[in-house]
Amino acid sequence: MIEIREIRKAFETRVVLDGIDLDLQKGETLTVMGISGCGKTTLLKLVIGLIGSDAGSIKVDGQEVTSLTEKQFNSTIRRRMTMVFQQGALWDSKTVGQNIDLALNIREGLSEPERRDLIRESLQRVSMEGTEDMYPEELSGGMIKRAAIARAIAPQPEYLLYDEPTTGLDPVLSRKISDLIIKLDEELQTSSMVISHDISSIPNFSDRIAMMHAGRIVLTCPADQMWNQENEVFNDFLYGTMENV
Amino acid sequence: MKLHTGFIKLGHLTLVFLRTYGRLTIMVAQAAVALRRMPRYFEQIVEQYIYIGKRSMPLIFVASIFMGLLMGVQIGTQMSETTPAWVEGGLILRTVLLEMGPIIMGIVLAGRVGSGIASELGTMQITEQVDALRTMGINPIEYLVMPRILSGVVAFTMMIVFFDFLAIMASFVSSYFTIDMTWTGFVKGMRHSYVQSDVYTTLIKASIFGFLVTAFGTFFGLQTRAGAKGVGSNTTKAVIWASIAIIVLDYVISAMLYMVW
Repeated sequence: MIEIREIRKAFETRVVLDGIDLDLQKGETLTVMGISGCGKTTLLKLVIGLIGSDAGSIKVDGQEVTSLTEKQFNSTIRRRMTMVFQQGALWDSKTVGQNIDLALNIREGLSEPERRDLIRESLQRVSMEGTEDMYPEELSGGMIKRAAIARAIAPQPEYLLYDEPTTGLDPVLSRKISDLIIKLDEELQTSSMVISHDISSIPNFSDRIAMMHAGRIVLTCPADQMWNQENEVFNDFLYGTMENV
Repeated sequence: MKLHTGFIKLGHLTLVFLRTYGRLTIMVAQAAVALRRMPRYFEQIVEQYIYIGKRSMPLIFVASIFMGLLMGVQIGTQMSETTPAWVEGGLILRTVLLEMGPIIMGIVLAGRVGSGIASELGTMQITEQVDALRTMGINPIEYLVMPRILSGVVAFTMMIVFFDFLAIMASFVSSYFTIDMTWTGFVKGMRHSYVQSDVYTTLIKASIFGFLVTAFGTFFGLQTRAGAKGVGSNTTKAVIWASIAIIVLDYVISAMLYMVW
């Protein structure tokens, strides 16, 4: 379980997160919504330790992570938590297989055959068998997203963070990625935190949603009830009528 | 009012300068510590060494030959009629070893290698590849910075030998055509002026310039923000800062080595 309490983060004078309170329960898929630039990606980066917070607490399975060093993050949190970046962030000088192999670095003591098996298995899960030797430049937008997901699931994490996994994809591909998230959550029993604007797909792959606005969480609710909320900010966001953006 | 604004700008520039050098020093110190994990990143070191060599050799070939040709023409034609022609061999040898070789190669490669490193790492930075690396438990200083700096130092030190050799040979060719210099006379001049410490000087300068070019390249690459514009501007910064540092340190190293030797 991830418990986020009163997290604050500012970049110079701009306050991005102003006291975020949020929980990710074991096995659930939580989608965080909000207008672009409201700090959703910053929140994910704080959870996985890519940036530090100014104040507040983040606990992963009871362990406080805000005070961990990079080395401690690697040896504890990042062994159990991986992230799918918005544009995939695949290493363009390496093949798909090498990209996944790089991610397996976090799991020490794997033999060469074990690494090969994990690479093949993770590519199979995202329906990309036989692409080990392809370079990212040879892949389509949807394949890059899937390869990035394969890289994230290869170390068999307990927690998966997705940063806008469907952004920039057409509705068909977007649906495929959403289905993939559902399938992976079921098969791997991971807990996922997803940043998404894909309103039509969110109820399909999410158990719960959270709305971030002005640096705070203004609403959390079960995903299947997102269309019945009375929160004005949330409804303005859903229907695209939000002002002062 | 104008004076006041001027002081504010000067203060701001000083702060930027100190902040940049402070961060650069921290990165270099981290890269030095990362040297203990060198065996683990041997593949990256070799990869970078080949990459730097491949990028540099054609440029070194052209730059050294034309610099040598030019020196042959200028020195040969400007020597007085009373000076024996063979003196030119020694003059060229010492000029190439002490100054022209390291500084020309350093500045030319700051534009080639330094810009390549800065733009590559800058693109990785803005496409979150560096962040992705960290989430996989890989330290970017160990994986990206240390191999590049180490390869730069080794590659520059080896390439200067090639550069100096070609420049000296090209000088002879151009002297042959401009002042009828003979090979025997040219070698006599070189033997007469040869000082062992000049070879050490050229190697020391090349290794330091290799360090500067790769350190500034990696530093500004990893500092990149703000998309494609940021990549362009930081690539330019890497080249400019490295070139200025090479020019300044060239004097400092020369003065120090003069006192030592």
